[in-house]
Amino acid sequence: MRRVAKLLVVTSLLAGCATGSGPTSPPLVGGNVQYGDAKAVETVTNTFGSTDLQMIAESMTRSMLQSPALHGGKRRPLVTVNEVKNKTSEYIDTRAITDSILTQMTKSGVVRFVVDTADMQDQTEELARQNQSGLYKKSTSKKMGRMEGADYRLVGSISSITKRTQDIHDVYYKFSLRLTEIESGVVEWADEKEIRKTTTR
Amino acid sequence: MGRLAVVLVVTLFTAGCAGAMRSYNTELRETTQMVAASRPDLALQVLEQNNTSADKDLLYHLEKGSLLRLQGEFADSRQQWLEADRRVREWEDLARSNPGKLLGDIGSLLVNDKVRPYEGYDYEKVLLTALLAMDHMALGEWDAARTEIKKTHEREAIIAEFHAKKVIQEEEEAKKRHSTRTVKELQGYPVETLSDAQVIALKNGYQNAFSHYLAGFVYEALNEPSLAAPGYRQAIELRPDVAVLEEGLKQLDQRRSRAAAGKTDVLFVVEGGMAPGRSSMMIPLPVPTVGLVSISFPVIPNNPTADYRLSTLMVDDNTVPMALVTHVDAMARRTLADDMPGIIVRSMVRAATKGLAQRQTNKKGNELASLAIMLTGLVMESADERSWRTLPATIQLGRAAFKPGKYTLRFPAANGTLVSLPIEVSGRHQIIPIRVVDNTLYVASTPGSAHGVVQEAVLEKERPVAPVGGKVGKKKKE
Amino acid sequence: MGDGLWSKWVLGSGMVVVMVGLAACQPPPQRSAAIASKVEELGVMLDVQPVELRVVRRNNLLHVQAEVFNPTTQDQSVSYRFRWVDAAGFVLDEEAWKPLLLHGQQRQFLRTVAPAPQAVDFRLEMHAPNNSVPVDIAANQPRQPWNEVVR
Repeated sequence: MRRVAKLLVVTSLLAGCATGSGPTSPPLVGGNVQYGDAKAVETVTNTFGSTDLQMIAESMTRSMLQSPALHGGKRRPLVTVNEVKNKTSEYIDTRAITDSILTQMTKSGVVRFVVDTADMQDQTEELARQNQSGLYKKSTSKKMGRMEGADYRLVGSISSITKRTQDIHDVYYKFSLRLTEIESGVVEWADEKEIRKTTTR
Repeated sequence: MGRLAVVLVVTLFTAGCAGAMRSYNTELRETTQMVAASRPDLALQVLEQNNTSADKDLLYHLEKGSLLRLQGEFADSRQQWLEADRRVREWEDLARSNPGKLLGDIGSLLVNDKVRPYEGYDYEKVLLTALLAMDHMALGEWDAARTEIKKTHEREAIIAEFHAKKVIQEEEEAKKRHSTRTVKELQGYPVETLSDAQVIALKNGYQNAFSHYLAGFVYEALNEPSLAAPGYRQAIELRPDVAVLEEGLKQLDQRRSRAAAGKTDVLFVVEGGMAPGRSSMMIPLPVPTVGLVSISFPVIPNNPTADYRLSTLMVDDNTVPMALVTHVDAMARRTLADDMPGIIVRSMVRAATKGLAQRQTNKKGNELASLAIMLTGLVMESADERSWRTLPATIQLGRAAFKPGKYTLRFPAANGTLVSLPIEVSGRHQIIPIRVVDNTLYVASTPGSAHGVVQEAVLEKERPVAPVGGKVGKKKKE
Repeated sequence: MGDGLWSKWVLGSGMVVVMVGLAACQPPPQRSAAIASKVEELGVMLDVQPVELRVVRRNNLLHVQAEVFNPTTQDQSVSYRFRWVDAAGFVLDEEAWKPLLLHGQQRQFLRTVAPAPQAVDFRLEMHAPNNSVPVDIAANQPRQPWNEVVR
């Protein structure tokens, strides 16, 4: 009898029916989830991350706030955001960066923003609906042809240089932004933010 | 009486392990034939017959999703693939949080590869989300497609990291076992299948240009050029010197003005053939202290369905240049080539264990035990044949702008016969998926993106256009 | 102030264990009162010192420049952020932590501008993951008005 038992053990070891040993699902509560500091320095991998986004947005906003062009006028200047070109081969959502810049600039109260190209569709549709659908009170429907043109436009780009050896992976990002006066085409302000990240194995 | 019982127990035990007995090649032969014969419904029946247990594995959901898609059941196909995707995400979570466990499973020496639960090859995991995105778009849900696209490149990053760890571990394992055997040392192994020009041209076994180009297209359709640009750029990096891909990036800015002119940006995705299968090949190897032992290794047989190429498509009188952007067949072979060193090390150790056990029982003269070991040996020694077979073998792309309306699409099928199909162009951006398997074509009439265009997305079902030699030929005679 | 001890520590052989051992019985490095009132450290930074602070109001915005110095011979990394306070003492929006690499013996200037005109005061929060030691809670000593920065 003992011999049989041994035989079975050997067989099961060799055939190794592992079908039942799939990954066990974690419990619904009590896993390793915890909330973190959204503003903390993130160095999980060296791809473009939250800290880079926050640093770029902040440094651009603070630098732009110092531009004399934005101060001294009678009214707060109007700015529109054009595109920030992504020249890297990483999927970086530059819209997330410009959105942060827009938010911080608006909060500063120094400038105001007008609808940008990406948002234009919704804006015109809303105006058209108020005016053409015949559903709205004349007194409250907003008039066509009253939108304000921007004084300045923001354009920029992000580019990167990556170098990699067996042990070292180095990424350099350069984000540059320009504020151009629309009527004259004069560049009133420009700045760059550079970031270098290195991973060693 | 007692003896007989023991034999039965042993036999049942080994047979009860369904994974060990499974021959995926045999299972899928009929399925693929049915697809080629324009009967995806029957193909699905065969698949269901082969997967009767309540506990379905990843592979079942992958294949079923493909077959449903060919029938034009995009919603059902999406459901299957989302289930498959859920399983892949479980793997992702492990790869992120506990790569050591996964690596340990792979390195497990006593377990044959084929009895492990199917995890999916890396190229399959990446293509899964790209195809899921195509399903979403076929249902007119471009925003959902964007989610899948984002998942695709996040998944690629996880795989890349895991892959690097795996390579290091396998190098160490080989060093520890003093195993320096490479595929070239396997007598009679068809080494050329793992090192032809198509395989060498690949950067790795899991990244494909199609997924990235599709990412570019979807982001562009959703008016996010800053995300579209890296998609096109990465596609070019993965497959340099392909004009269709280069145009994608070069004309990114011009196309926006073209869209303003009321034209639809149409992407033709031609999926050709079937992904290759794997079969086993017995190769005798000298194992220290045991002698010559026959060990089976996986081989990817020649796959003629991967040879289908289109240089152009005709849309009415316009010529749309086509280009091969993803060679799934070569990716499968590259994956096997990358896995081979690990497979060899594990097989050698297993063979040594098996040989020793057999010699000892022979010495003792215990025939029964010897028989049992031979039995398990037989079961063990056939390689893992599983892989996602209903994936296309090649993916070719073409892109052009047309005014919305009805057109006739003409191109040669696999046997050279010219086929023509009606298509309808609508929306700002549109994807037209075409599947060519032997002489059967599957074309989906999918809605264009409604992004920026207020219109009802009319969905027509994909319908098989039966064998070119058959119905179309007959029509001509009438 | 044990001058000998301090310089030994500044010369800082790379051995972290030794440094931590010394740090435990080491009085915290000294800062001027002005700096101490504006700089908030999470723990006490031993290897990086805020040396000088300048504040000026231009274009109705507060401009701040802080000089930090790494007296050791190794690279040190710290994170910092500014916290802005309005006239009523309310804190404006939180800033993101910014990483900063200081080479051995390097001085760096952290320059910034308030995010909005209503900011009238600020604090500089600094945090060095590798070299901060917790304040001795048992002693429950308030931070002393330190003498001139020890060199």
